[in-house]
Amino acid sequence: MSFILTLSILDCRLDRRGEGEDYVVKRPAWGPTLVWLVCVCFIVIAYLALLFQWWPDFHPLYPLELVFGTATKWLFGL
Amino acid sequence: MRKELISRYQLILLLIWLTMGTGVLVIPSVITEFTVTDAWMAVPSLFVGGLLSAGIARVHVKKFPNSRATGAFLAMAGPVIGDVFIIWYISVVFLVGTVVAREFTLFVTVASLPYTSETAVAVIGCASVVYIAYVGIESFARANEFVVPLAVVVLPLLILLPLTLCDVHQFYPVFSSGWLPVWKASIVSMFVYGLEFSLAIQFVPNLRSPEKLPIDIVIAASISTVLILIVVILTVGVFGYTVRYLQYPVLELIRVVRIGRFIERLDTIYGIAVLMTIISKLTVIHLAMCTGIQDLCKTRDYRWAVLPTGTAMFVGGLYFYRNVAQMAYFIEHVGPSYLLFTVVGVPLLGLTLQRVRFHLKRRARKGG
Repeated sequence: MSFILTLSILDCRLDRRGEGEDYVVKRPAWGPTLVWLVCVCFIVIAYLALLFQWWPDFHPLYPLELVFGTATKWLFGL
Repeated sequence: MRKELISRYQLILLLIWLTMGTGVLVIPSVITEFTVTDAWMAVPSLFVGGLLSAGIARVHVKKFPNSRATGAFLAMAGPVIGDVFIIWYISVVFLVGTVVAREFTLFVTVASLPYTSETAVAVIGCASVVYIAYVGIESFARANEFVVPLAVVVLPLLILLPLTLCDVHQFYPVFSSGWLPVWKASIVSMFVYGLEFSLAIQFVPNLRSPEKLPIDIVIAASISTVLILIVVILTVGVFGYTVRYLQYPVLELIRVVRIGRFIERLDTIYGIAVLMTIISKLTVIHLAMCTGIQDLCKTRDYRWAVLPTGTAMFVGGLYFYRNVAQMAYFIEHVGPSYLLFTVVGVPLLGLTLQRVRFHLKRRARKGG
Protein backbone atom coordinates (compact mmCIF):
# COMPACT_ATOMS: atom_id res chain seq x y z
CA MET A 1 0.00 0.00 0.00
CA SER A 2 2.80 2.40 0.91
CA PHE A 3 4.37 1.61 -2.47
CA ILE A 4 1.16 2.55 -4.26
CA LEU A 5 0.85 5.67 -2.11
CA THR A 6 4.40 6.72 -3.01
CA LEU A 7 3.68 6.08 -6.68
CA SER A 8 0.52 8.15 -6.49
CA ILE A 9 2.33 11.11 -4.92
CA LEU A 10 5.11 10.76 -7.47
CA ASP A 11 2.49 10.69 -10.20
CA CYS A 12 1.08 13.99 -8.94
CA ARG A 13 4.56 15.49 -8.89
CA LEU A 14 5.38 14.28 -12.41
CA ASP A 15 2.06 15.63 -13.53
CA ARG A 16 3.21 19.14 -12.71
CA ARG A 17 6.55 19.17 -14.48
CA GLY A 18 6.89 22.08 -16.85
CA GLU A 19 3.73 23.76 -15.62
CA GLY A 20 5.55 26.62 -13.88
CA GLU A 21 5.44 27.97 -10.33
CA ASP A 22 1.94 29.36 -10.64
CA TYR A 23 0.52 25.89 -11.24
CA VAL A 24 2.32 24.53 -8.15
CA VAL A 25 0.88 27.27 -5.96
CA LYS A 26 -2.68 26.65 -7.21
CA ARG A 27 -2.61 22.85 -6.97
CA PRO A 28 -1.10 21.60 -3.71
CA ALA A 29 -0.08 17.92 -3.43
CA TRP A 30 -1.84 17.36 -0.10
CA GLY A 31 -5.21 16.72 -1.80
CA PRO A 32 -4.37 13.41 -3.54
CA THR A 33 -2.20 12.32 -0.60
CA LEU A 34 -5.04 12.96 1.84
CA VAL A 35 -7.55 11.12 -0.36
CA TRP A 36 -5.20 8.12 -0.55
CA LEU A 37 -4.58 8.17 3.20
CA VAL A 38 -8.29 8.41 4.06
CA CYS A 39 -9.16 5.60 1.65
CA VAL A 40 -6.36 3.29 2.85
CA CYS A 41 -7.27 3.92 6.52
CA PHE A 42 -10.97 3.31 5.77
CA ILE A 43 -10.24 0.09 3.87
CA VAL A 44 -7.94 -1.29 6.58
CA ILE A 45 -10.20 -0.38 9.53
CA ALA A 46 -13.46 -1.39 7.82
CA TYR A 47 -12.15 -4.67 6.50
CA LEU A 48 -10.43 -5.70 9.72
CA ALA A 49 -13.55 -4.74 11.70
CA LEU A 50 -15.59 -6.84 9.31
CA LEU A 51 -13.18 -9.76 9.43
CA PHE A 52 -12.69 -9.95 13.19
CA GLN A 53 -16.13 -8.64 14.11
CA TRP A 54 -14.85 -5.68 16.13
CA TRP A 55 -17.76 -3.73 17.54
CA PRO A 56 -20.39 -5.99 15.94
CA ASP A 57 -23.16 -3.67 17.14
CA PHE A 58 -21.49 -0.56 15.74
CA HIS A 59 -23.54 0.78 12.88
CA PRO A 60 -21.60 3.46 10.94
CA LEU A 61 -24.61 4.76 9.05
CA TYR A 62 -26.80 5.14 12.14
CA PRO A 63 -26.75 9.00 12.18
CA LEU A 64 -27.78 9.10 8.50
CA GLU A 65 -30.51 6.52 9.10
CA LEU A 66 -31.80 8.49 12.05
CA VAL A 67 -31.95 11.86 10.26
CA PHE A 68 -33.02 10.82 6.79
CA GLY A 69 -35.08 7.84 7.97
CA THR A 70 -37.16 10.25 10.05
CA ALA A 71 -37.32 12.67 7.13
CA THR A 72 -38.54 9.92 4.78
CA LYS A 73 -41.18 8.85 7.29
CA TRP A 74 -42.30 12.43 7.79
CA LEU A 75 -42.30 13.38 4.10
CA PHE A 76 -43.56 10.22 2.43
CA GLY A 77 -45.04 8.10 5.21
CA LEU A 78 -42.65 5.18 4.60
CA MET B 1 -4.68 16.63 -22.31
CA ARG B 2 -7.34 15.73 -24.88
CA LYS B 3 -10.90 16.14 -23.68
CA GLU B 4 -12.94 12.93 -23.65
CA LEU B 5 -16.31 13.44 -25.32
CA ILE B 6 -19.38 11.24 -25.66
CA SER B 7 -22.33 11.55 -28.04
CA ARG B 8 -26.01 11.90 -27.08
CA TYR B 9 -26.69 8.30 -28.07
CA GLN B 10 -23.89 7.06 -25.82
CA LEU B 11 -25.13 9.20 -22.94
CA ILE B 12 -28.68 7.87 -23.29
CA LEU B 13 -27.36 4.30 -23.22
CA LEU B 14 -25.30 5.00 -20.12
CA LEU B 15 -28.33 6.53 -18.40
CA ILE B 16 -30.55 3.57 -19.30
CA TRP B 17 -28.05 1.11 -17.80
CA LEU B 18 -27.72 3.42 -14.81
CA THR B 19 -31.35 2.75 -13.93
CA MET B 20 -31.70 -0.76 -15.27
CA GLY B 21 -28.49 -1.98 -13.60
CA THR B 22 -30.02 -2.49 -10.18
CA GLY B 23 -33.53 -1.21 -10.95
CA VAL B 24 -34.47 -4.48 -12.59
CA LEU B 25 -33.43 -6.31 -9.39
CA VAL B 26 -34.79 -3.94 -6.76
CA ILE B 27 -37.79 -2.04 -8.19
CA PRO B 28 -40.12 -5.07 -8.67
CA SER B 29 -39.52 -6.32 -5.10
CA VAL B 30 -39.83 -2.85 -3.55
CA ILE B 31 -43.07 -2.09 -5.41
CA THR B 32 -44.70 -5.44 -4.71
CA GLU B 33 -43.90 -5.05 -1.01
CA PHE B 34 -46.68 -2.43 -0.90
CA THR B 35 -49.05 -3.49 -3.65
CA VAL B 36 -49.25 -6.45 -6.01
CA THR B 37 -52.37 -6.03 -8.12
CA ASP B 38 -51.71 -2.30 -8.67
CA ALA B 39 -47.91 -2.64 -8.93
CA TRP B 40 -47.87 -1.48 -12.55
CA MET B 41 -49.36 1.88 -11.54
CA ALA B 42 -46.33 2.67 -9.38
CA VAL B 43 -43.79 2.28 -12.20
CA PRO B 44 -44.48 5.58 -14.06
CA SER B 45 -43.15 7.35 -10.95
CA LEU B 46 -39.69 6.49 -12.29
CA PHE B 47 -40.44 8.78 -15.24
CA VAL B 48 -41.58 11.53 -12.84
CA GLY B 49 -38.24 11.22 -11.02
CA GLY B 50 -36.50 11.41 -14.41
CA LEU B 51 -38.44 14.60 -15.22
CA LEU B 52 -37.29 16.09 -11.92
CA SER B 53 -33.67 15.25 -12.79
CA ALA B 54 -34.18 16.73 -16.28
CA GLY B 55 -35.49 19.96 -14.70
CA ILE B 56 -32.40 20.21 -12.50
CA ALA B 57 -30.16 19.47 -15.49
CA ARG B 58 -31.91 22.22 -17.46
CA VAL B 59 -31.23 24.81 -14.76
CA HIS B 60 -27.63 23.58 -14.56
CA VAL B 61 -26.82 23.74 -18.28
CA LYS B 62 -28.45 27.16 -18.50
CA LYS B 63 -26.43 28.63 -15.65
CA PHE B 64 -23.22 26.60 -15.94
CA PRO B 65 -23.01 25.31 -19.54
CA ASN B 66 -19.41 24.03 -19.23
CA SER B 67 -19.21 22.92 -15.59
CA ARG B 68 -19.81 19.72 -13.70
CA ALA B 69 -22.12 19.60 -10.68
CA THR B 70 -19.07 19.93 -8.42
CA GLY B 71 -17.69 22.81 -10.50
CA ALA B 72 -21.06 24.54 -10.19
CA PHE B 73 -20.90 24.20 -6.39
CA LEU B 74 -17.56 26.02 -6.41
CA ALA B 75 -18.95 28.72 -8.69
CA MET B 76 -22.08 29.16 -6.57
CA ALA B 77 -20.75 29.00 -3.04
CA GLY B 78 -17.11 30.09 -3.35
CA PRO B 79 -13.97 28.11 -2.54
CA VAL B 80 -14.58 27.20 1.14
CA ILE B 81 -18.33 26.51 1.33
CA GLY B 82 -18.14 25.15 -2.23
CA ASP B 83 -15.61 22.58 -1.03
CA VAL B 84 -18.00 21.61 1.79
CA PHE B 85 -20.77 21.11 -0.79
CA ILE B 86 -18.42 19.01 -2.94
CA ILE B 87 -17.47 16.83 0.05
CA TRP B 88 -21.18 16.27 0.75
CA TYR B 89 -21.82 15.42 -2.92
CA ILE B 90 -18.87 13.00 -3.05
CA SER B 91 -19.99 11.30 0.18
CA VAL B 92 -23.50 10.81 -1.23
CA VAL B 93 -22.18 9.39 -4.52
CA PHE B 94 -19.83 7.17 -2.48
CA LEU B 95 -22.73 5.81 -0.40
CA VAL B 96 -24.85 5.21 -3.51
CA GLY B 97 -21.83 3.37 -4.92
CA THR B 98 -21.53 1.22 -1.78
CA VAL B 99 -25.19 0.20 -2.10
CA VAL B 100 -24.73 -0.78 -5.76
CA ALA B 101 -21.46 -2.60 -4.99
CA ARG B 102 -23.25 -4.55 -2.25
CA GLU B 103 -26.10 -5.38 -4.63
CA PHE B 104 -23.49 -6.67 -7.07
CA THR B 105 -21.82 -8.99 -4.50
CA LEU B 106 -25.21 -10.13 -3.19
CA PHE B 107 -26.60 -10.92 -6.63
CA VAL B 108 -23.51 -12.90 -7.66
CA THR B 109 -23.38 -14.92 -4.43
CA VAL B 110 -27.14 -15.53 -4.25
CA ALA B 111 -27.80 -16.23 -7.91
CA SER B 112 -24.75 -18.03 -9.22
CA LEU B 113 -21.77 -18.49 -6.85
CA PRO B 114 -23.17 -19.47 -3.42
CA TYR B 115 -19.91 -21.07 -2.22
CA THR B 116 -17.65 -18.16 -3.20
CA SER B 117 -16.79 -15.59 -0.55
CA GLU B 118 -18.26 -12.13 -1.02
CA THR B 119 -14.79 -10.64 -0.72
CA ALA B 120 -13.57 -12.60 -3.75
CA VAL B 121 -16.59 -11.44 -5.75
CA ALA B 122 -16.01 -7.87 -4.61
CA VAL B 123 -12.34 -8.02 -5.66
CA ILE B 124 -13.30 -9.11 -9.19
CA GLY B 125 -16.03 -6.46 -9.43
CA CYS B 126 -13.71 -3.79 -8.06
CA ALA B 127 -10.94 -4.67 -10.55
CA SER B 128 -13.38 -4.37 -13.49
CA VAL B 129 -14.89 -1.07 -12.34
CA VAL B 130 -11.52 0.48 -11.49
CA TYR B 131 -10.05 -0.53 -14.85
CA ILE B 132 -13.01 0.80 -16.85
CA ALA B 133 -12.99 4.07 -14.89
CA TYR B 134 -9.22 4.34 -15.47
CA VAL B 135 -9.64 3.87 -19.21
CA GLY B 136 -12.05 6.81 -19.28
CA ILE B 137 -15.63 7.69 -20.17
CA GLU B 138 -15.08 7.86 -23.95
CA SER B 139 -13.77 4.31 -24.33
CA PHE B 140 -16.31 3.08 -21.79
CA ALA B 141 -19.19 4.66 -23.70
CA ARG B 142 -17.94 3.16 -26.98
CA ALA B 143 -17.69 -0.32 -25.43
CA ASN B 144 -21.14 0.20 -23.97
CA GLU B 145 -22.57 0.63 -27.47
CA PHE B 146 -21.63 -2.98 -28.15
CA VAL B 147 -24.16 -4.10 -25.52
CA VAL B 148 -27.09 -2.75 -27.54
CA PRO B 149 -27.15 -5.35 -30.35
CA LEU B 150 -26.93 -8.08 -27.68
CA ALA B 151 -29.77 -6.50 -25.72
CA VAL B 152 -31.86 -6.20 -28.90
CA VAL B 153 -31.55 -9.96 -29.43
CA VAL B 154 -31.87 -11.09 -25.82
CA LEU B 155 -34.50 -8.69 -24.40
CA PRO B 156 -37.44 -9.61 -26.68
CA LEU B 157 -36.64 -13.28 -26.04
CA LEU B 158 -36.68 -12.80 -22.28
CA ILE B 159 -39.92 -10.79 -22.52
CA LEU B 160 -41.82 -12.95 -24.99
CA LEU B 161 -41.11 -16.36 -23.46
CA PRO B 162 -42.60 -15.69 -19.98
CA LEU B 163 -45.56 -13.95 -21.66
CA THR B 164 -47.18 -17.35 -22.25
CA LEU B 165 -47.35 -17.89 -18.45
CA CYS B 166 -48.82 -14.46 -17.72
CA ASP B 167 -52.35 -14.35 -16.25
CA VAL B 168 -54.32 -11.10 -16.55
CA HIS B 169 -56.45 -12.01 -13.51
CA GLN B 170 -53.46 -11.41 -11.25
CA PHE B 171 -54.06 -7.66 -11.76
CA TYR B 172 -57.60 -7.75 -10.30
CA PRO B 173 -59.13 -6.23 -8.25
CA VAL B 174 -57.88 -2.81 -9.31
CA PHE B 175 -57.33 -0.37 -6.41
CA SER B 176 -57.94 -3.14 -3.88
CA SER B 177 -56.48 -0.95 -1.09
CA GLY B 178 -56.86 2.52 -2.64
CA TRP B 179 -54.16 4.97 -3.71
CA LEU B 180 -51.98 4.92 -0.56
CA PRO B 181 -50.10 1.64 -1.31
CA VAL B 182 -49.53 2.83 -4.89
CA TRP B 183 -48.06 6.12 -3.59
CA LYS B 184 -45.82 4.31 -1.09
CA ALA B 185 -44.68 1.89 -3.78
CA SER B 186 -43.80 4.85 -6.05
CA ILE B 187 -41.45 6.58 -3.60
CA VAL B 188 -38.29 4.51 -4.18
CA SER B 189 -38.63 4.49 -7.98
CA MET B 190 -39.28 8.22 -8.05
CA PHE B 191 -36.80 9.59 -5.50
CA VAL B 192 -34.04 6.97 -5.59
CA TYR B 193 -33.88 5.64 -9.14
CA GLY B 194 -35.43 8.66 -10.86
CA LEU B 195 -33.04 11.09 -9.20
CA GLU B 196 -30.02 8.96 -10.10
CA PHE B 197 -30.34 10.40 -13.64
CA SER B 198 -29.05 13.67 -12.23
CA LEU B 199 -25.59 12.04 -12.02
CA ALA B 200 -25.33 12.92 -15.72
CA ILE B 201 -24.79 16.56 -14.69
CA GLN B 202 -21.34 15.51 -13.47
CA PHE B 203 -20.41 14.65 -17.08
CA VAL B 204 -21.45 17.95 -18.70
CA PRO B 205 -17.87 18.83 -19.85
CA ASN B 206 -17.68 15.39 -21.51
CA LEU B 207 -20.84 15.83 -23.60
CA ARG B 208 -20.72 16.76 -27.27
CA SER B 209 -24.01 18.64 -26.91
CA PRO B 210 -24.50 19.56 -23.24
CA GLU B 211 -27.49 21.79 -24.07
CA LYS B 212 -29.45 18.65 -25.00
CA LEU B 213 -28.81 16.98 -21.63
CA PRO B 214 -32.33 17.57 -20.21
CA ILE B 215 -34.03 16.02 -23.25
CA ASP B 216 -31.57 13.10 -23.18
CA ILE B 217 -32.48 12.44 -19.55
CA VAL B 218 -36.18 12.49 -20.49
CA ILE B 219 -35.57 10.00 -23.33
CA ALA B 220 -33.54 7.68 -21.07
CA ALA B 221 -36.15 7.94 -18.31
CA SER B 222 -39.01 7.07 -20.69
CA ILE B 223 -37.17 4.03 -22.13
CA SER B 224 -36.22 2.81 -18.64
CA THR B 225 -39.80 3.28 -17.42
CA VAL B 226 -41.20 1.22 -20.30
CA LEU B 227 -38.68 -1.58 -19.68
CA ILE B 228 -39.32 -1.67 -15.91
CA LEU B 229 -43.08 -1.55 -16.57
CA ILE B 230 -42.83 -4.63 -18.80
CA VAL B 231 -40.76 -6.41 -16.14
CA VAL B 232 -43.23 -5.59 -13.34
CA ILE B 233 -46.26 -6.61 -15.43
CA LEU B 234 -44.60 -9.92 -16.29
CA THR B 235 -43.51 -10.75 -12.72
CA VAL B 236 -46.92 -9.94 -11.22
CA GLY B 237 -48.75 -11.59 -14.11
CA VAL B 238 -46.81 -14.84 -13.69
CA PHE B 239 -46.37 -15.08 -9.90
CA GLY B 240 -49.26 -13.06 -8.46
CA TYR B 241 -48.99 -12.65 -4.67
CA THR B 242 -46.09 -15.16 -4.52
CA VAL B 243 -43.87 -12.38 -5.89
CA ARG B 244 -43.68 -10.90 -2.36
CA TYR B 245 -41.65 -13.87 -1.13
CA LEU B 246 -39.05 -13.77 -3.92
CA GLN B 247 -35.77 -11.93 -3.48
CA TYR B 248 -35.12 -11.60 -7.22
CA PRO B 249 -38.51 -11.93 -8.94
CA VAL B 250 -37.15 -11.39 -12.45
CA LEU B 251 -34.53 -14.09 -12.01
CA GLU B 252 -37.24 -16.53 -10.91
CA LEU B 253 -39.39 -15.40 -13.84
CA ILE B 254 -36.64 -16.29 -16.29
CA ARG B 255 -36.03 -19.57 -14.47
CA VAL B 256 -39.61 -20.76 -14.93
CA VAL B 257 -39.32 -20.52 -18.72
CA ARG B 258 -39.13 -24.04 -20.13
CA ILE B 259 -40.09 -25.04 -23.63
CA GLY B 260 -39.77 -28.80 -24.03
CA ARG B 261 -36.25 -29.87 -23.12
CA PHE B 262 -34.75 -27.48 -25.58
CA ILE B 263 -35.12 -23.95 -24.14
CA GLU B 264 -34.49 -23.77 -20.39
CA ARG B 265 -32.11 -22.26 -17.82
CA LEU B 266 -32.19 -18.86 -19.51
CA ASP B 267 -31.24 -17.35 -16.16
CA THR B 268 -27.59 -17.63 -17.21
CA ILE B 269 -28.21 -15.11 -20.00
CA TYR B 270 -30.15 -12.91 -17.57
CA GLY B 271 -27.34 -13.15 -14.99
CA ILE B 272 -24.74 -12.06 -17.55
CA ALA B 273 -26.95 -9.16 -18.66
CA VAL B 274 -27.54 -8.01 -15.08
CA LEU B 275 -23.85 -8.19 -14.18
CA MET B 276 -22.93 -6.18 -17.28
CA THR B 277 -25.43 -3.48 -16.46
CA ILE B 278 -24.46 -3.33 -12.76
CA ILE B 279 -20.78 -2.96 -13.68
CA SER B 280 -21.78 -0.23 -16.12
CA LYS B 281 -23.81 1.53 -13.41
CA LEU B 282 -20.99 1.24 -10.89
CA THR B 283 -18.54 2.70 -13.39
CA VAL B 284 -20.76 5.73 -14.02
CA ILE B 285 -21.07 6.28 -10.25
CA HIS B 286 -17.35 5.77 -9.76
CA LEU B 287 -16.47 8.21 -12.56
CA ALA B 288 -18.84 10.80 -11.05
CA MET B 289 -17.13 10.37 -7.67
CA CYS B 290 -13.59 10.56 -9.08
CA THR B 291 -14.30 13.67 -11.15
CA GLY B 292 -15.82 15.26 -8.02
CA ILE B 293 -12.62 14.43 -6.10
CA GLN B 294 -10.63 15.90 -8.99
CA ASP B 295 -12.53 19.20 -8.58
CA LEU B 296 -12.05 19.07 -4.82
CA CYS B 297 -8.28 18.49 -5.03
CA LYS B 298 -7.95 20.73 -8.11
CA THR B 299 -5.79 18.27 -10.05
CA ARG B 300 -5.53 18.01 -13.81
CA ASP B 301 -6.75 14.42 -13.99
CA TYR B 302 -8.94 12.11 -11.91
CA ARG B 303 -7.14 8.81 -12.56
CA TRP B 304 -5.01 8.90 -9.40
CA ALA B 305 -8.26 8.60 -7.39
CA VAL B 306 -9.66 5.61 -9.24
CA LEU B 307 -7.98 2.79 -7.29
CA PRO B 308 -8.31 4.00 -3.66
CA THR B 309 -11.89 5.23 -3.97
CA GLY B 310 -13.01 2.19 -5.98
CA THR B 311 -11.62 -0.20 -3.39
CA ALA B 312 -13.11 1.85 -0.56
CA MET B 313 -16.50 1.72 -2.33
CA PHE B 314 -16.54 -2.08 -2.47
CA VAL B 315 -15.20 -2.51 1.07
CA GLY B 316 -17.74 0.06 2.27
CA GLY B 317 -20.50 -1.97 0.64
CA LEU B 318 -19.51 -5.05 2.63
CA TYR B 319 -18.95 -3.09 5.85
CA PHE B 320 -22.01 -0.81 5.89
CA TYR B 321 -24.64 -3.37 4.91
CA ARG B 322 -23.93 -6.66 6.62
CA ASN B 323 -27.07 -8.32 5.20
CA VAL B 324 -29.93 -7.85 2.73
CA ALA B 325 -32.23 -6.38 5.39
CA GLN B 326 -29.82 -3.54 6.27
CA MET B 327 -29.34 -2.69 2.61
CA ALA B 328 -33.07 -2.80 1.86
CA TYR B 329 -33.74 -0.55 4.88
CA PHE B 330 -31.21 1.99 3.59
CA ILE B 331 -32.67 2.00 0.07
CA GLU B 332 -36.31 2.24 1.16
CA HIS B 333 -36.20 4.38 4.29
CA VAL B 334 -33.10 6.56 3.98
CA GLY B 335 -32.57 6.80 0.21
CA PRO B 336 -35.62 8.88 -0.83
CA SER B 337 -35.11 11.88 1.47
CA TYR B 338 -31.30 11.59 1.33
CA LEU B 339 -31.23 11.84 -2.46
CA LEU B 340 -34.01 14.42 -2.59
CA PHE B 341 -32.04 16.64 -0.20
CA THR B 342 -28.81 16.16 -2.16
CA VAL B 343 -30.15 16.50 -5.68
CA VAL B 344 -32.72 19.25 -5.08
CA GLY B 345 -31.98 20.77 -1.66
CA VAL B 346 -28.21 21.27 -1.93
CA PRO B 347 -28.28 22.98 -5.38
CA LEU B 348 -31.09 25.25 -4.14
CA LEU B 349 -28.97 26.09 -1.11
CA GLY B 350 -26.05 26.82 -3.46
CA LEU B 351 -28.18 29.10 -5.65
CA THR B 352 -29.39 30.98 -2.57
CA LEU B 353 -25.79 31.40 -1.41
CA GLN B 354 -24.82 32.68 -4.86
CA ARG B 355 -27.56 35.32 -4.62
CA VAL B 356 -26.50 36.34 -1.12
CA ARG B 357 -22.85 36.60 -2.19
CA PHE B 358 -23.84 38.66 -5.24
CA HIS B 359 -25.85 41.12 -3.12
CA LEU B 360 -23.10 41.36 -0.49
CA LYS B 361 -20.50 42.09 -3.19
CA ARG B 362 -22.73 44.73 -4.79
CA ARG B 363 -23.35 46.38 -1.43
CA ALA B 364 -19.60 46.37 -0.66
CA ARG B 365 -18.89 47.93 -4.07
CA LYS B 366 -21.52 50.64 -3.48
CA GLY B 367 -20.20 51.27 0.03
CA GLY B 368 -16.62 51.54 -1.29
